[in-house]
Amino acid sequence: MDVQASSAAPPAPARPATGRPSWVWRRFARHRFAAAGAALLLVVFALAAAGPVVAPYNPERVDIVDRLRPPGAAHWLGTDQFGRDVLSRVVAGARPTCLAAVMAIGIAAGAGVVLGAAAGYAGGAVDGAVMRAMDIMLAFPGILLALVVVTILGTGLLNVMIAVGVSLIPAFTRLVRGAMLSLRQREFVVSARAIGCGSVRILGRHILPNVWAQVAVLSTTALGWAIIAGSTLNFLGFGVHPPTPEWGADLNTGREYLNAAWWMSTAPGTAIVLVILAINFVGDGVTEALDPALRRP
Amino acid sequence: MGAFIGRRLLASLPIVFGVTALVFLILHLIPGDPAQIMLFGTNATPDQIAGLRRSLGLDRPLAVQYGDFVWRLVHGDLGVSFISQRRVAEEIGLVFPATATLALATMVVAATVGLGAGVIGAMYRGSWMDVAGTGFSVLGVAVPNFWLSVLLILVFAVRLGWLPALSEGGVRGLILPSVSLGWGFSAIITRLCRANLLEALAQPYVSTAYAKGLRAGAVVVRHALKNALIPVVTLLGLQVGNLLSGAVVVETIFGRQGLGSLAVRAIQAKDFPTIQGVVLVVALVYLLVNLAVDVAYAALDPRVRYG
Amino acid sequence: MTRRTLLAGALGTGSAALLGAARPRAAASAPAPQGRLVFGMWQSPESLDPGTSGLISSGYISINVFDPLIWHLPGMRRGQEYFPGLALRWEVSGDARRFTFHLRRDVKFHDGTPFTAEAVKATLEHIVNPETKSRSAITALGPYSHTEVTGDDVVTIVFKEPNGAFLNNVATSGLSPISPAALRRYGHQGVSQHPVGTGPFKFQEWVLGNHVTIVANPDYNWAPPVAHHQGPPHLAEITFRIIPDASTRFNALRTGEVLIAENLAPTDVQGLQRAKGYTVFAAPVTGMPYSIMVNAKRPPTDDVRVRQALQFATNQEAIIEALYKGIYEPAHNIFLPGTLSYDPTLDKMYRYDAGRAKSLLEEAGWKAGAGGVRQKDGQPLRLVFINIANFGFDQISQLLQAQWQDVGIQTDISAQSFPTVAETYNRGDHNLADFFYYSVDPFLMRALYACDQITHGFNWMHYCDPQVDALVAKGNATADPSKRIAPFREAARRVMEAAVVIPIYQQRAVFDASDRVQALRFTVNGFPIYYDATLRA
Repeated sequence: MDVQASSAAPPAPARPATGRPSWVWRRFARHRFAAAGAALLLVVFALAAAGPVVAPYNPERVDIVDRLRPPGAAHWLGTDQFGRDVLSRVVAGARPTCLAAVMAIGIAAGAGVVLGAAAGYAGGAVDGAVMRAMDIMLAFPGILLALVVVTILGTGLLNVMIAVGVSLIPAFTRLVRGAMLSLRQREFVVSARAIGCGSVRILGRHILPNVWAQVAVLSTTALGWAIIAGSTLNFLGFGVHPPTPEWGADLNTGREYLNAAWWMSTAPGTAIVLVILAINFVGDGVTEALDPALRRP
Repeated sequence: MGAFIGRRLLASLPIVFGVTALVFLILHLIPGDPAQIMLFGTNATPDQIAGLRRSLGLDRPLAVQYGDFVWRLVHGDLGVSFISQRRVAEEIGLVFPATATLALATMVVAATVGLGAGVIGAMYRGSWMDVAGTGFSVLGVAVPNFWLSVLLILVFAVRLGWLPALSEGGVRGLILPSVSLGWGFSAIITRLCRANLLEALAQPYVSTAYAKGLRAGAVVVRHALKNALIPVVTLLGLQVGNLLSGAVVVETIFGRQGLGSLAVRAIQAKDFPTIQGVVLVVALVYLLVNLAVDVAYAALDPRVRYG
Repeated sequence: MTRRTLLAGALGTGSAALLGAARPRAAASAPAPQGRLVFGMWQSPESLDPGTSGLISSGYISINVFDPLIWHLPGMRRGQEYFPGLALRWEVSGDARRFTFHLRRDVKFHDGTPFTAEAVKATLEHIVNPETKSRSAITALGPYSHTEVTGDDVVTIVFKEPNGAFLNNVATSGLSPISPAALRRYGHQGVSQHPVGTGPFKFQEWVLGNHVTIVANPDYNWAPPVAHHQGPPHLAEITFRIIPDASTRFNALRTGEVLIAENLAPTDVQGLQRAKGYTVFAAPVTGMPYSIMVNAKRPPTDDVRVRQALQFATNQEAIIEALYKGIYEPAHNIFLPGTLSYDPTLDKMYRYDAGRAKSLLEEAGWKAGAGGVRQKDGQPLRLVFINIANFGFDQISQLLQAQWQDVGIQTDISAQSFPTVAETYNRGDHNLADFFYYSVDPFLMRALYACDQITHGFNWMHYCDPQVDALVAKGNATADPSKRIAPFREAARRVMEAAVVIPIYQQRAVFDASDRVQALRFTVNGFPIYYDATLRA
């Protein structure tokens, strides 16, 4: 669940030790999964963009008579304890879940890039200060950090995601700093400086574009973690305000009804699992695509 | 080597103080008056509440309070819990072994699953086993901890009766919680191990070994795996903070005492001394573990020592 | 559903009522205690000292480790409510300020020291000592002045003001005698980890965050005459296992790792009611039902017509049907049945009537507006509903939100955890708050409705009516139950007319047990007593 180490650069390709035609498999197997993952993510983001309008029923409509119905003709994924349609809640829940996760990553990546760039490029005291600060944040247990932020800011999905985002900043900072350190020594940077380009220009035009790729890769892994972290904070009692549908919150609510109505949590739970799997496979695909060393002849 | 360790220890000190200062600041920023909370429901008058604040030292300037905290800390005194009136050091000491045991067991599970899937993935790169291996460990990340725990209990405790639902002392009570936590951590280990193993396998000495007739398995184990392990060990060190986060959930579900649940209760009750004590202990553990990792690193690779 | 409280109630943690009265058989030579019972509870105790603790979890343990001076058993025998405990008989002064108890002489503490009047005095002094930081017992005690000891077996407790509620409160574990030797040895704080009482079970160990174990007291021979046997208890050992998660408590019951579990989800309780091999105990409790408190100072609920509209727009029956069918009953009163001065006629005051709710709102100037939300002077009719996080009201608040929407009210729901939320409530940032209250005495009205409880007490309705305060004081001015009823009833009527409390359901103390557990009894507040209990093989 920790994303720090995935910032380690992917290695050079390995030659297959035997005559197995694994290059064929690799092209189809991993790429197929990555493609499937990408397709799923597109669907999910489309749902998130469209919002609750797409759902067959109003996800917040309470109907006590119809409560706890198993999946059937009228309600494909059954109803929850208030008679609300589970499928509609999953569909409508895509938006808050995705929005929140994206926002958390936005905070983490945004702050991380700035801090990491400053540390890596400027070096010296700035680097020392930033890395000490990151060490402090890392030594601070993530959940405690999130709990404290939520206690200060109050419950609610927005605050939960701020908390999650903040706890992810060290990972991005370290990644960007590492990339900075190696890039700043490279020839094209040295020559750019030699011909008199200012630091900002160097940063903007030469260094950052190279860093984006790695940030993108880290983001895909961190997205999954953000969704889970949000869900866990719901479990601990901080999170969305009812009756907003949200996958993590509904998963948690459904836990209480596990024996009576297993579909209540299975639906949002499956959605979370599928999305995270998809993100991971897409992430792998992106990694292999972006890293020239891994590209297949 | 001694100088190396010494330097690292010295570098850790500012971090320890940084963490405690940060926590201290945050706690006092959180709305809520511990004195009022402690006297809640006792019909205490505002005067009595103010009196309690004074006796807890909460009315002094922040800098003074922090200084006092540091002074007592240096003397090994973590203060007294607001909720239970017990010494914080004592309470932490009572629950720490349980969390440590869980953490170790989790590492074992994570390393086993992670390395297993990583090795398979690297050796049979591109095959369905590769994808299955990665997919299996990613599943551990995709399913939220609290959900996985409940599922494991339902299957293994209630339906099959093989393992207890509650985590008592002993190995049997440790299996489900550590699997629940460790599975999630294994994902990143799988990815790292696989990637590093692939890189190691591409080295010339591997082809030489094959040319000399060594079987694939032996090659992996004797030559490549050692190099692949180094980053994995580093990673384990970084996980300490996240381990506690996951432990909070797992301890709650399996009814296990530990630092995690102690911390959550303390936060809800604004039990400042306990919160500070827990954070401090976790930070210390994080630093010590990372120091140990770096020492191991340095021992394995002399280039690091003077870096 | 969760019965979560950090306070067992300012007026006491349960008096002992042994249900199922029968003539006690004299135990000739009872078999040695045997059997180990594991009880799954959700919250860790913070102290095992009944004089300090404010948590129910602690009360579950204390009621078996400590004996009260008297037992409160309404309904057991005609004309008698109170029965001897450690005290054989007692007298109350006419002004309800002096309570004299004549004590048994054959009682010993778990540490071997004899139980005397000095022990009663030492315990009360310990409770009022600021060093002890008593959370609940000190309020149960009341306006304590001092204790007079006349001989080894006579003690008089004196109060500064009339304390009619005292007889109910002294029958709780909160005021049960603690060994003075233990107090001297461990200090006011130390007895939290070393409880030494006179009860049928004695403390063995407390593994922090995991469990508390108590074992049979072989010397126990002073059970109250209303118990079913005399001598040591039947059970050898009881372990109170802390399991914070409700589904795990349920699963542990299914695997047999615990034999009794509390606070399970209503659907799981319903499942157990249908299943074989389990008994669901639903012990009635006294005090206040689970309710919503309405802020009488903050608009728009500062208008009594809006508050009354809320009452009429609330369909308690539908909520019970949806959430607690077969477990609880709907509540329509600020008292639970069984509480002294409970007035059944008040139940009819606000029966569900959406039409009446709408007309009240119209009358108050809230006309139909855009999006189904009523408007007045350009403002929508919006209520701020702040729940106590994880308290068990989340689903209720959502159902209420839907019900009130039907009459044109918009409700914004959020949650804060205890104890932060208490401050929010004291500030009055809410229109609607959750609460319930465990108590054995109608004097609970003082803690809930008194004018001086607004800024730092439980009066989260910010409701102040000096008449109510006066009536409540009058009700407490005598210890004679028959004289206390009228003023409390009048006070209750006024509170209900002000519509500051929306009762939701009559909770019970629900425990789900394996049917191996036999002869389990409960106090008036639903705490299990294990003295007579046995375990079938």
